[in-house]
Amino acid sequence: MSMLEVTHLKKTYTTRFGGDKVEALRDVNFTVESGEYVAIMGESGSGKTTLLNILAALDRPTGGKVVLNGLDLSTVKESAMASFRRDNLGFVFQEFNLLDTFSIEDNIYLPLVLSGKSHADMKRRLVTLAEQLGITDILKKYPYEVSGGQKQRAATARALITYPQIILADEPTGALDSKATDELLTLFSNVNKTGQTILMVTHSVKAASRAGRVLFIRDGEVFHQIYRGEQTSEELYAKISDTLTMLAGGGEIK
Amino acid sequence: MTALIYPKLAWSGIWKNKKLYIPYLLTSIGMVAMFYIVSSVSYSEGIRGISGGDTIVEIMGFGSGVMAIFSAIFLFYSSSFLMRRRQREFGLYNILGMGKRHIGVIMLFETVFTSVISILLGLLFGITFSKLAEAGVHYIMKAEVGYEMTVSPEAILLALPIFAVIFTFILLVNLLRVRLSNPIALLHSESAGERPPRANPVLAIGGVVLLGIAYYIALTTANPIMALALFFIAVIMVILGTYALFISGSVFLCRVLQKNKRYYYRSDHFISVSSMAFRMKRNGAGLASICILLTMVLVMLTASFSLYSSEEDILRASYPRSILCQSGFNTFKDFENDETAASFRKTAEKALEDAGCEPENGYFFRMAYMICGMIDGSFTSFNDPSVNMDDYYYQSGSNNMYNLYMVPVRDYNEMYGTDYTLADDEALIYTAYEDYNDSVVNIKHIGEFRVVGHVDEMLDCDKIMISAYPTIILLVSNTGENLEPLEKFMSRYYHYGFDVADGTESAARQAIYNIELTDDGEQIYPGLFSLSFSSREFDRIDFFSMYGGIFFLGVMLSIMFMLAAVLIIYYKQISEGYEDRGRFEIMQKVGLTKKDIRRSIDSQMRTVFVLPIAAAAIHLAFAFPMLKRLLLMFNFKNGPLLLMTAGACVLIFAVIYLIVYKLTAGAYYRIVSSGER
Repeated sequence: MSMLEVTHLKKTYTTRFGGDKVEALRDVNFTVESGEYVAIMGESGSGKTTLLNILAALDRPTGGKVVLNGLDLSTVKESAMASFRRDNLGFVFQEFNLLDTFSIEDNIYLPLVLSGKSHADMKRRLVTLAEQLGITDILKKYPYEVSGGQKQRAATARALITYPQIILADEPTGALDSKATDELLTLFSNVNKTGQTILMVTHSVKAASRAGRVLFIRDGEVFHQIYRGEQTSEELYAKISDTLTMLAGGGEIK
Repeated sequence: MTALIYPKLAWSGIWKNKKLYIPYLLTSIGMVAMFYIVSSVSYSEGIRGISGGDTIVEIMGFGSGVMAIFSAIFLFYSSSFLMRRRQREFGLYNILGMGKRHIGVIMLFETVFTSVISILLGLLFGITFSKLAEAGVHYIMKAEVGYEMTVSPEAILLALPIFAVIFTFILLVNLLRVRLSNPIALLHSESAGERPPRANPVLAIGGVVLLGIAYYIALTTANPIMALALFFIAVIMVILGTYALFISGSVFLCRVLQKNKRYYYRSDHFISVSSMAFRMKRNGAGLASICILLTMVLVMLTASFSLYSSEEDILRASYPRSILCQSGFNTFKDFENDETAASFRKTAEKALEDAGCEPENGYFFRMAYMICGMIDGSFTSFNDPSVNMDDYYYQSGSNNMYNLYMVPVRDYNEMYGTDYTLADDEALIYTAYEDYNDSVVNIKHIGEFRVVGHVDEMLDCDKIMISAYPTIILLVSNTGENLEPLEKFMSRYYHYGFDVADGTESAARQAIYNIELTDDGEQIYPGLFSLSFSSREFDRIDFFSMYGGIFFLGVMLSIMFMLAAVLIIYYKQISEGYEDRGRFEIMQKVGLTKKDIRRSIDSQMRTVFVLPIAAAAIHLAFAFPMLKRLLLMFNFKNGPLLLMTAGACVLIFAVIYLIVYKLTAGAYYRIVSSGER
């Protein structure tokens, strides 16, 4: 059984005054195996963000279902949703979403504090994680005192510290310069090698080329996918570029 | 067409930000209305016409000055808050190619709109409610009210320029603020680099020390005159201390809490403690302002209401009988003469009977008096030329001032039906304000009196004690030639007090007034040089106009301060709402439940709600002993009433404050939740 199964997912937005319906997701089907590193690519308006919001249980689908480790998300009650998210999902956002009122350390602790973990337990988890992510030195600092790359690593730590089933990353490199981007992508690869499942939505060919599999979405459907197989990142990069060119040209890929 | 764009933009700017502008307008309307009401009372012919009205008019004239100053401060505060929220919009205009001059024109129009609305509606409300206020004044002074509607052109002409100047000044400062900023800064002014504040222990400790000293002064100053002088120093220290504590002490406290891992890393404390630490520095000033305003309101209302409501008690204490005659004598020899005393009383009684009045409950005693200081262990008159004046002030601190009275014990015996007999060097003692525990009273030039006992009551002492120094009344065997060394330093009076039947009081006053002190150029009594009378009814009018005026002004200022406090609370909630919206959005993504949000907001709200009113109540509690002593100067001695009034004021304002907080908390929730997905 796959870790994440998405079947016939459909999301229709109705404009405020009734009338027009906008189909953000038409019929999305895919699965993610445990330990996989999947990138989802697509143009603006292709439904990427809607998909991620539904996977993150921030939004409810109009049709179809999302099953995480055998649990249908639609059966999780609204009141239990936040704690479900907290315990099973880790998030990394484009704009970091660190809280300026907390130090880096406290930002990372936030989900654990909300789950009622003891300070000793939190500390134990953080020590190894901080070492792995290279943020031990900045733990006592505040978000405004550190660089974008450091912020994103802190955000990654916050996502990982709950030992989530799956990491959902939304354009994690979108606000980073190229050096920080490389560092973060290497970090993601390393994290993935420890067995952590990652699902990343991105525009960036470079980011996607580091994943194990790339899904392409167009007009609310999964349009195409590429497996890394034995290819290097460079080879995958070229393949993704070709695919995107084809997509832009509106052609079909066989 | 293009000229019209500015007023249009200005109007839409106000309309789009109505959540901010409506409270601002309401406040400024309220300020204008109250200014008008107070100054219209001060110009009111109707009030000037009633007896004692002059005092009211004077108090209100002073009051309208105070109101103008506070209006300026509060309006300035709220407009600076408005501007902070508007700068982003102006930044956008600037980037879209609008020059700062054009932004200035928009701001000019905005100011014109808001000030015209405020002044017009304010005057309208002021005129509507001024009749009510006037009726209130009449009621307080227990006079009849006329029912014609009046408009006070003088008050309008005073309000117009004052508020025009205030609004113009606010505009100028805002223009300067825009001039000094660049468009990018304007655009990002709301999210300007926020750094969490460091606790400043020096400021926190300073605040504690200031408050400690102020509280110490309030608790230990026994002398009312000193209390009056020190009261203002204490007030200023309390204000500074409160600001220092709220701004820095609270951050310091939060930091301490954050150090305590067990306490801090719990879901109910984590978010609230950190965000409080973060915002206290900026909002500490707001909270301190709320606290100070509440304290002022509480002290003002407690004091003025207590005074006003115990008017009859105070009057009765000052005037145990409805009329009091006092006549002064030049020498101790004539003063002590029992025949003169008896004959004086008879003359007065006869004059009263001739006028058709029957004096009842009469009492009579002789009393010699001087203000003195304690020098080298003996009471020494202030007029004594043999003593260096500096000694009075430096020898035993600044509290070295006493009222010393001497009364022949046989007069006391006659008044109270006692039969004390005293040797020449013995005295009975009555004290007020300060106990006297020595076994001897040493008076310079006279010598020692042994204190053989204390008496508990003495008529008229409230009237004579109005000067509020510690008072010592000595009952002695003789107040005649034995006291002659003090002849130049003491004054000597007969006190003759009596009641008359209702309605005959003015006739009685007239009868006393008509007594001739001389007969064919000869004094009717040797040594008698003056005869004066005072009456309860006469003073009652003064009393009502004075204390009633203070009470009325106290209520008006309380309303105004409350308005200001409400506005500060509201703006605080709104601005925190905008700040927190983003944070709660993030926290929800990380897995904060709606329940957690509610709980953490509630915990913050509770703290922020309780802090200022709790601090205000503590201030009031410490001010209480001082207030009690200050009110002694008005002959107010009803401690329980003062305590009850204070308690009731705290309760009433806690309820009002709670309602306001609930309402503004609603606005906060709406802002925070509107950012949710």
